[in-house]
Amino acid sequence: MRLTDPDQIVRLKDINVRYSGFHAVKDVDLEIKRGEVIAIVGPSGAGKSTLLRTINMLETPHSGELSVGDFRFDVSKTLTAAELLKLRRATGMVFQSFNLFPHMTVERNISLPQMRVLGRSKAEADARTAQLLERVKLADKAHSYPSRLSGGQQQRIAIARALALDPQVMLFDEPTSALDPELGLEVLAVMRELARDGMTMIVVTHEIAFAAEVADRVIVMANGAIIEQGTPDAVIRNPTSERTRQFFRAILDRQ
Amino acid sequence: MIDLLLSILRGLPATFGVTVSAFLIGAILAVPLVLMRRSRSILLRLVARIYVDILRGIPPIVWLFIIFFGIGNGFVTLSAFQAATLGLGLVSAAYLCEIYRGGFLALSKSQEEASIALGFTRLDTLRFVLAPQVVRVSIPGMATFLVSLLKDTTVASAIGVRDIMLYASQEAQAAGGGFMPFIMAALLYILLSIPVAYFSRRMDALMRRRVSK
Repeated sequence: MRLTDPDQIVRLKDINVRYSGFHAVKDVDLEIKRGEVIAIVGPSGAGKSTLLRTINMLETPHSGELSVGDFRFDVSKTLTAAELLKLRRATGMVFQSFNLFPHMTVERNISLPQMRVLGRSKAEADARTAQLLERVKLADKAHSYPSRLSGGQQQRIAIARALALDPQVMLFDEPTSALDPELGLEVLAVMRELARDGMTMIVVTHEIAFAAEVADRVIVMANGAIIEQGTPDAVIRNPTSERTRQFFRAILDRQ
Repeated sequence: MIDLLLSILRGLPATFGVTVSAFLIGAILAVPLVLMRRSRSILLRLVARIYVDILRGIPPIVWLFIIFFGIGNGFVTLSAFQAATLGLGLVSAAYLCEIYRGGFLALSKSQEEASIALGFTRLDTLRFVLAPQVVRVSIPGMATFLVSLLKDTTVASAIGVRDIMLYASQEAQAAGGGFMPFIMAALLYILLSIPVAYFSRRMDALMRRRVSK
């Protein structure tokens, strides 16, 4: 079964995630349109990352329905390996700690997944890799090992690696939290450009300024639930709930 | 003196042969074993666990006697060399399995997560991402084990393998005691172990330079 709205690309319905004795995500409903940029914010422990990780099933929800692109899954059933593969091909993920493969050059980090997952030839993959490295402004680093690069450079490589598989939606799990502010900026610049090019993005972040500027919609989570959502203007400047107000006050007072 | 040395050196091929063959058997057999240890199936994990615990629990000399006088005389005939190689190979598999497992544990979980998120199959994740890194971290442990295996092959002389230890004992008996043959054997074992240690340090340094954080 397809999504009813052709513009819709991700849909979560009644998603629940439980760890032993802990209800991490509670009855979350979320619909995301093609090309939309979503920022998920909220205090730590709110379930933001867990929610993001259910979209490519790195986290297995207890119950609910999940649709990504043309695929729709009832997550209470065990998905087959083929279904999971489809889901992961439709999504690209960028982690807080970059997670590049340390024993491979930058070029191989980006080319190998294209060859193994999409079946591209080495020449095709390397051509695409060169193009993406150009785009994240690291063309001269193709033959370096990740350990030789700064955190900001590694994260841009990680973004290129995910983009190389032509995902329909990009998931960012606190992409700048492990970086000092200046290096974070170069990563945010790449993300801003990506958003401008029409990529669908879901970003878990503490960068409120980035959320305000780039996101089409800001979602605030607390205690495993979405407590508020809307345009950045509405949510950040005029939050309706006291919990949201308290959260933004804590962040904005710091700056 | 030279005669004595030449006599003991006759044991070099057997010592070398048992060490290398047993190590190779162990290194190869430890691969399916460690995969079983990490399997999602409780049964496979249990079987591998029991194998490791048993093989590490039996003294090598007892184990060689069991193989040589038990299995070797029953179903198939095994030469002393074959029995020693097989016996020590099976024991090595248990130890090397644990060394590999340590290598897997040293890898951060995030490497596996990144592979999964990219859409790698489990086999591809193992082959391209995990295994190459596990091999790298396992090299020092494997080298240490190889040196200790070299010394453990002396138990093969107990079932009649014509190794350095056997010739040294023979020379000592012929001379009516005397410890010179054993001193010579000791020097030979040290000489054999030095290249292994050297090679291991070189490999380790090389790998570290490449992927150091």
